[in-house]
Amino acid sequence: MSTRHTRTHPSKATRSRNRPASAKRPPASRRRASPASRRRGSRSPLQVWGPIVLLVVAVVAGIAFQAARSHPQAAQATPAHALGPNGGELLGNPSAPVLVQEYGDFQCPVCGQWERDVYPTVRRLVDQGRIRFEYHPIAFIGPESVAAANAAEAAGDEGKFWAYHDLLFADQAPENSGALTTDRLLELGRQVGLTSQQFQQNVTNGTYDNWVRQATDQSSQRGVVQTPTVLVNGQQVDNALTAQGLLAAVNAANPGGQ
Amino acid sequence: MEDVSNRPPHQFAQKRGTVSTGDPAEPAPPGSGGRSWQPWAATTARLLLAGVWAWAALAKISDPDAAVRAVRAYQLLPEALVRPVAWGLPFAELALAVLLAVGLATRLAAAGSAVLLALFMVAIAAAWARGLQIDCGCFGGGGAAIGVQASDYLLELVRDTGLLVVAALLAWRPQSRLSLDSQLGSEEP
Repeated sequence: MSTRHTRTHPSKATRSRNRPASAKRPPASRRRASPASRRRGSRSPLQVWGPIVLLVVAVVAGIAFQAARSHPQAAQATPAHALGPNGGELLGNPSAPVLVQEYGDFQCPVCGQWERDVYPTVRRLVDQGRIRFEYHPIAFIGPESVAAANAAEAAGDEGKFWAYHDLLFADQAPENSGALTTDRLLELGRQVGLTSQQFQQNVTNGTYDNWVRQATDQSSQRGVVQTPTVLVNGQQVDNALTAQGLLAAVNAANPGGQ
Repeated sequence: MEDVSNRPPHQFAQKRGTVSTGDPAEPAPPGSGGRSWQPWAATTARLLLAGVWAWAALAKISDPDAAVRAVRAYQLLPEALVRPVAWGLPFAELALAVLLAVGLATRLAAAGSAVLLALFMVAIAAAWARGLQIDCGCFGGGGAAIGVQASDYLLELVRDTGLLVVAALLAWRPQSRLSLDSQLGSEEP
């Protein structure tokens, strides 16, 4: 950085401003730089190192800044009823032969469609003891997804995860429309009989917000990159968006279970 | 009377024409550096690229968690690199935006822009070739998406190609008006 001697001569700067276009280089005699620094000599150290330093500092500072802002690192509260670190909610007999998993976002329209088209079949298979169903709430559409999943977990604390889950999907508004306010989430709770002080506090304070964000990040690391993602015995089912597709996958996973 | 009424629109048209001739998509023949429109075209290119980078950067910076998922969805980087790239890349974009906006180290910033755009195009093409259905996350968001079609990838690649051409031309002829480079007196060709 001690290359002050390469600073442009003022008269050269003046000429340059007067002739900004890239005309033919002036003859070497017009430039005072030594032969060794012939061409680069017109650049000040600021112009050589400044941008490079700026880039590096920006990237390093940016990584540190975002690491401090990123949420999934610390989940203070884990809902006691969630299924371990993967955070699923279980419906049905834990010893049913086939495991069906759904990763869903309460704001995702296709999840809402799945709820209408396929979920009744899921319920029937659960009732028949043929499958156990895990719902993994993840939240990637927006802050309202986090708030909704948090409220569903709070409902789960009082044994009403599924009632609340069903209601959230039945009541679904367009993505990030601002419909899922705290008041709305509390009102949905009242509709399924959730009136406790604890539920209201958990919804208002976002007790499980960080847990939801962490579950979302872990799901993404496991390759769940869209919702709904449906797996049958751990295998992703691509045509599980119809009841027939899901039934076929369940039958294939357990041929004797018919 | 006729002359006076005709003049302003004529001048206006001429001015617009000058700017549009300066479209950086039209490479100037070598030795045409004396053309007065060229530094202004470079300024236009600088501001265009700066705007795109700033927009892309701020959209990604606003949601660090979404940025991580967007990078991960490409399935190109090992998990250990996903976070540093997702969090650092937008700030590199922001730095490029600042350099281009003020016109400092224009050639370096333009070349850096071209390299970054080329890398993005490789990543998008790789996602397309492997049949991934992802939103590029170019301007925030990202990750898997329902109903992504070939035309979506193609559009992203065409857009990036256009920006790449602008960046490459700017790196070739970085002299521009309203730039710190010209204030500092460096007219490096």
